[in-house]
Amino acid sequence: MKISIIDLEVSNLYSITNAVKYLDYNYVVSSSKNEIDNSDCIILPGVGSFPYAISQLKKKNIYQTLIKNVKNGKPIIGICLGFQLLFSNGQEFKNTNGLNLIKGSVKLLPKKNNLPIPHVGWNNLIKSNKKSISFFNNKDNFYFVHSYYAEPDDKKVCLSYTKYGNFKFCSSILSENIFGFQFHPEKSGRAGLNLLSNTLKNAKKI
Amino acid sequence: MKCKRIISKLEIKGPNLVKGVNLEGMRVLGKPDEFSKLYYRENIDELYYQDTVASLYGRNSLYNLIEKVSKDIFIPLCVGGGVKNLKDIYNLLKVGADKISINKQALKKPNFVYEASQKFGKANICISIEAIKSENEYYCFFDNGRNFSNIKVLDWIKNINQIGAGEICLTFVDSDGTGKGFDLDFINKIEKITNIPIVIHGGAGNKKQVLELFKKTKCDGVSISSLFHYNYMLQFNNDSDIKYSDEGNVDFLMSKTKSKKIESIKINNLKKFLTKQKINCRI
Repeated sequence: MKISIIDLEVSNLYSITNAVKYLDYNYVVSSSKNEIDNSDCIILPGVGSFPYAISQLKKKNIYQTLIKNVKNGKPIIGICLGFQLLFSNGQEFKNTNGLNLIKGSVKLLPKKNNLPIPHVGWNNLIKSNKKSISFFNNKDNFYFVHSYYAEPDDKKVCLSYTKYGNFKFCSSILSENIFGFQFHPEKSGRAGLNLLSNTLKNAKKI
Repeated sequence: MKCKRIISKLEIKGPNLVKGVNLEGMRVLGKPDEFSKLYYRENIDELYYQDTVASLYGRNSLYNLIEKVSKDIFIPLCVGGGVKNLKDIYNLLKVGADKISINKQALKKPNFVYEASQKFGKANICISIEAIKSENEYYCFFDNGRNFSNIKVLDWIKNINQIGAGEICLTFVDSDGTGKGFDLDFINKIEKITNIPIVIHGGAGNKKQVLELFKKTKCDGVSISSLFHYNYMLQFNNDSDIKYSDEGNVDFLMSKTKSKKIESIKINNLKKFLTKQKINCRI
């Protein structure tokens, strides 16, 4: 299986490429249409802001390429901002359309209870359906860094929830060939590498 | 439930991991890459690298180290020291850093932090504060506690709220390396004026002080050096053939003695202790 890791030129791609290398998969770091078309799986990482990332996808002419590939059944794994980009729209700075592969929107974490924003640090995942079991354990903690969270219209796509204070949000999704994580599996030690490995194994079967 | 972060701060001078008292009188403790790998295996939540002379000499020399360790360490790496412009940040992120910590340049040019937050995302920018108390008031210092800014810490934090940053790492320079504990009242004062996650460094001399910090303040994490370093350093240095560079004082290391003021502890033992006392940690 050949993985294309999308380069938006804003993020640290070193961590995700190191993790994919560590798990012994072939990959190419790219923002070229051909390379994405010719790969078997797409990883969409991302740090930075929602509007800027979408504008980069459009500037590189791969916005439609990603949509087409995923609609044709190619597995995609979105991480952090890459996870948020999978949704219909984002509200960071201004309302921006996302890839619309998952119906729903990306909103600012609520500024109540004096919880610090961004939500930075290690937190656990609460299983939300039977499929969760083949991905992670309830006790495992994962590294989060985000100020926005994604809210899918169809709750069934949610693979896990996470609680920040009393606020519960969808922290990962699985919908057929679409995988997405709000946290950074590539920064979450052994638990993260296991999750990434399980995800890639599932992607391989598609 | 969210965990409190147990971070290790690795102060680097030249090729060596060092630790001083009040950020001065650096003792060589070993090799930073060896400590990094060991701490990762021992379940540390995050590593915070500080080039202790970068700001003074105007350069950060941690690129090679970060590039090397990030190949097999899969936890967040924060890097600071001598970061002056957007290019410095980009170059550090490119070799595997996740967060960049800025002190002097933020004090000199606050707009730089705003620009950095806009470009690289707020969450990846950490403001480091070196706090020294003078006449009942904490002031911001820079160049590893050597130079004085005349800016009060509380004023600076109000300013940071406006500029934007993903995290504030506050060092109590007076307590650094002494094990005399943290100024909890002052941390409470900070909490009242900001919503940005706070990490505290400087003063942890035993596990009870870390527990007190989490019981009495809402801080997000603690950044520890002496408490862990003095526990692990003896593991590495059984080989008398190890050559340390001329930079720094190796007498302490070679004497194989333990610090009297620091009740050193293993990372997991600290986490287990805190968990028992109902402080949620990543075990």
